Amino acid sequence: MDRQPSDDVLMGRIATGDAPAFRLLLDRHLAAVTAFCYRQLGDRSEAEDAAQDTFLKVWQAAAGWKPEAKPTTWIYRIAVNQCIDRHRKRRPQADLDAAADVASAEPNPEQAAARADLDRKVRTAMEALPERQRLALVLCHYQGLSQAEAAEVLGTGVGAVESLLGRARRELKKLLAADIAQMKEKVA
Amino acid sequence: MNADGKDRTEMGPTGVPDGRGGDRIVDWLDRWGADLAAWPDQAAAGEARRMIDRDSVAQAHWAEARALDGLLDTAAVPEPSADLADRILAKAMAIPPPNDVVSLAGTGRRRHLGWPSLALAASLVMGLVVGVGVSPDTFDGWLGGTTVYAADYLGFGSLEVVE
Repeated sequence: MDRQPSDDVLMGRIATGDAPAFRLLLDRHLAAVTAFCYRQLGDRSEAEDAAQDTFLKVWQAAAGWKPEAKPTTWIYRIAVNQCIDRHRKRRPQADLDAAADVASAEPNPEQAAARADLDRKVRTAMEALPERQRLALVLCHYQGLSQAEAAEVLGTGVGAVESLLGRARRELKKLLAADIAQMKEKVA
Repeated sequence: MNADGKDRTEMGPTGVPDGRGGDRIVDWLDRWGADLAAWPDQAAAGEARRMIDRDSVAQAHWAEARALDGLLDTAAVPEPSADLADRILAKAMAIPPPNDVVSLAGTGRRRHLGWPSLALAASLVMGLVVGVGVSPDTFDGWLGGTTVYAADYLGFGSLEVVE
């Protein structure tokens, strides 16, 4: 029986300089961390750089990871700091090429254009949120972290995360009111 | 709405949800999203389900929350470059492995103890030893007392100092 080692086991190995363990950790979490960075930075190239720096810090600092913290929580905490640093250094820009790439997967050109337009609106609305609100929403809604895990990543309490999520959703409901009305008809 | 068609429980006299029930489900939906099964408080989720079953306004709030979640899910993320993992691995191999770094207690940060630091420390020790050895001759007794005092202070007091 070939059981895959847990993330905790991998972290222990990485702390001793085990490159294959590091590769396995990359295979498991790189896509999610890159997606997280993309949702924060809005630029594919910047997101890949942030994800790269996140994992290089994981490699260098693995010995400092403590087993009481979930490895993914710890990795996201590093990624959050990477994104905050980069976000503050420059104004984020919408990656229109990436949106076009995604949209081109649609078979119908009209659907593709509508999809790209919706994508742009949602990303613009997300971009308009205060940083902490956006972080909380991305961690919980897109990355699937629990409120408790997001609280650990953000270094705050569960109540504060729920408050951030509440304010983020209320703001998005205002910013995307027309699109929500259309979507309501679809999901009804 | 209930099986008996009554939804008075959560509605005020004018048909607007009463402050308690209506506001409460909106607050829950904003905090935890439209997927009731994923709520951290399943007692609240059960209460929300009952409200949605019998209250058209609660249903409208839930539909709005589902629409928002659905809208968020339409925002696509491009796939990372195919060689990104290879690039990261290559860069990681080019820097010192984790067991060559020393933890800064409590912070999780690391610093490297590279050869410049070690060379500097070695040169400081050598300088002290040589300095203690030659200073009496160099200054011809001018700082003799001070030298002995300094040697004691630095832990070289057992060395024989030639005055």
